[in-house]
Amino acid sequence: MKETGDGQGTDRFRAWMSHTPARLDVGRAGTRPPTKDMLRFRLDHAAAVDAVYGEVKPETLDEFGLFSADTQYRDKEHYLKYPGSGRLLTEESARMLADRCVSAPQVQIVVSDGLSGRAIDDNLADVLPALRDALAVNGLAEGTAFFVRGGRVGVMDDIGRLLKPEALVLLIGERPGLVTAASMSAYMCYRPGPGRRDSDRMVISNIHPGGTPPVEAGAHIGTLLRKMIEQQASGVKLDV
Amino acid sequence: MEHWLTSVGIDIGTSTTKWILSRLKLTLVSDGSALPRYEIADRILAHVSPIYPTPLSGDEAIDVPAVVALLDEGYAGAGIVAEQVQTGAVLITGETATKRNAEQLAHGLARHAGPFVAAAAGADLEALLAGKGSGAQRRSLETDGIVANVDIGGGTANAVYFRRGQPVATATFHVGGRLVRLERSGRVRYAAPALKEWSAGSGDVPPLPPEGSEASFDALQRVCRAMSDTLLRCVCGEAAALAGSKALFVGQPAAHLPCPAEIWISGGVGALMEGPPPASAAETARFGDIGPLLAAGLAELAGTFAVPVRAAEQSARATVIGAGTQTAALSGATLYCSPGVLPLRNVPVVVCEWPPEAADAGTDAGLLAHAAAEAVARGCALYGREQGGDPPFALGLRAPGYVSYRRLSSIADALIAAYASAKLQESILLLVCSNDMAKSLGNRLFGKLGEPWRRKLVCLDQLVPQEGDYLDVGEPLREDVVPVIVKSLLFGG
Repeated sequence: MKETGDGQGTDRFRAWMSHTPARLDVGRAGTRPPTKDMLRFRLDHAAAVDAVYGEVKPETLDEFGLFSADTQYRDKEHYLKYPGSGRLLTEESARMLADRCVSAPQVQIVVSDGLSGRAIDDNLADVLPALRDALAVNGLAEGTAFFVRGGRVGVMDDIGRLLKPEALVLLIGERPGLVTAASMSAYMCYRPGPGRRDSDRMVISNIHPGGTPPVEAGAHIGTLLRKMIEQQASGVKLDV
Repeated sequence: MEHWLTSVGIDIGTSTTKWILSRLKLTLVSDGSALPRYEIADRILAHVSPIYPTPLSGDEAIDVPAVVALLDEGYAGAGIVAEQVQTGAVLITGETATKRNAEQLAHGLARHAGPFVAAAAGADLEALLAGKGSGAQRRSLETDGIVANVDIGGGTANAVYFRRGQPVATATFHVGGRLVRLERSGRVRYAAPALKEWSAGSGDVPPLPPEGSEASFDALQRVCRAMSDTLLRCVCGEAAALAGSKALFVGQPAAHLPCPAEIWISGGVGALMEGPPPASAAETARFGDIGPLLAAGLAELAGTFAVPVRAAEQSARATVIGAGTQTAALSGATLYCSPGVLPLRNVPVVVCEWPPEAADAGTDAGLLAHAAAEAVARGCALYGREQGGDPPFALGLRAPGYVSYRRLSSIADALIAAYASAKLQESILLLVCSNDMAKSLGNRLFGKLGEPWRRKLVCLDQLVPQEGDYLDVGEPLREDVVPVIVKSLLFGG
């Protein structure tokens, strides 16, 4: 059984509803939501939890030839309790970067699972090639892209300290929500390094097929990186 | 962050000519973590001209030099420099000179209308612009029912129906002040053929006084009342009225029209509704036609009609305000545009509908290639290089659902193959995507195209032009703002 309003202004309410994926006007069965909507809600919640505990598939990384570095996160439980552990690379990984990556590139691309491995599985194949097209159009040279397991946004500064890129973009899985568990963000910073603040960084968020279109996000990130390098600034100082 | 656009609207109608200058405020409405999006957030009327009688040479053609002189004088008086005008529209509306020298007029006015302006008219576009300029569209956002705007000028009555701000239907009628021209004695100088046909076709309609005869005030009043009554009943979609008034329709008669919750009347006749009704044939003929009496007929009927009828907020200048403030649209802000290619004017649109995505990449690429080849071949047949400009046509791309990078790449290949085999490698590639994908598609094409073709690429998005529409694409105002005018019909099609 589904109850709705009295029909007054229903057209207008429907028009408002079309602007949000929120669970509005689902009706009720007795004192609780209808069974279908209740199950949908629990399914979405379970998917969000799974995304946090899931891992990025090896095939995803192989497709783009990304090698893996680790932060000091140790395991998922520790990672969730101590966010700071996801901002620093292990000593072994730091040595690996020095060994395998081009030093001081114009643009450094880093991919990380963050809070949703699925975000990377679902969106990397659309965002990364579009971003590389955009780098070519904007005349930007890329360093050696790699993957970071157990990363937080602040890991950009540790990588910046080690590789000294002009600009760095981190493609990272977002905290899952009830609308989607596979949403990616792209954080960008000009000359990242220890001491950088949130106001120095910029972000394009909500990247997934139902949000910010992944291919167009990749294209736009390229434009932003060019502007960052042109203006030698990022975050609130950048004139977009 | 905001940016201002200067826009002009010029309306050359059957009876009157007027123009306005407006300032449109572009505002970045997206938040910092989303892709940038601009909207026209405010429209300010900066200058409103007086209403002039339309200069005609004879009854047949617009007096182009006289119109140009009128605008020269108006611009000088208002301190406007033509070079400041960035967008807008010249509309040749109603029956004006049967639009015969419309193209000549458009050339004559190109200087006043700035480097980028639409010289467009078509009954549907006129109706839509009048409904936006009159305030009826805004009204429909405040109410649940349909709001119809009927713009009644000298030659035609253009009706548009809005539901929640969206146009849902249009209709155009041979109903207007100047369709019967009078001398002060009541002598009928001219009666439009459509009215004669309508009057002769039905026993319920009072006879139209023949041309050359002296009509009594009473006879004129009966005709105007009948015209008002028939028009409003047709606007309400009354089946009997629609069936009995086929002669009054401009173009294809409508079989159905929605019943509005409110009817707004704009145009010159709408403006006259608020004045005192004429009491004699001489008072009726003060503009040399039946306009004032038609307005009186509508005003009288408005009091008793089943659907509320009112004069619009903006009546006499509804169309010109719509033309000056509502024609410019903006492309999605993530776009691709080779330097130096824009502006482009009067580019016809050919629609390319992509098929639903096939599971297998090879099959999908084949389907896309076929769709692109078919659309480009149709474009070449309709707008071939001999008569066409550069580009001969724009491709309107419509993709159902999500576009992945794999699909984007296949789309780029399909477009390049189709344009190459149609020998269009020398022409500008103008693509208008319905989905938000212009920048990524442009980037992909840039990577795949050879020189010099890759320097002649324009990719816009979040616009959905229809097959046969014409586009004016303006110069970018910033790297990411490109104004576009989508013209639904040019010179009446």
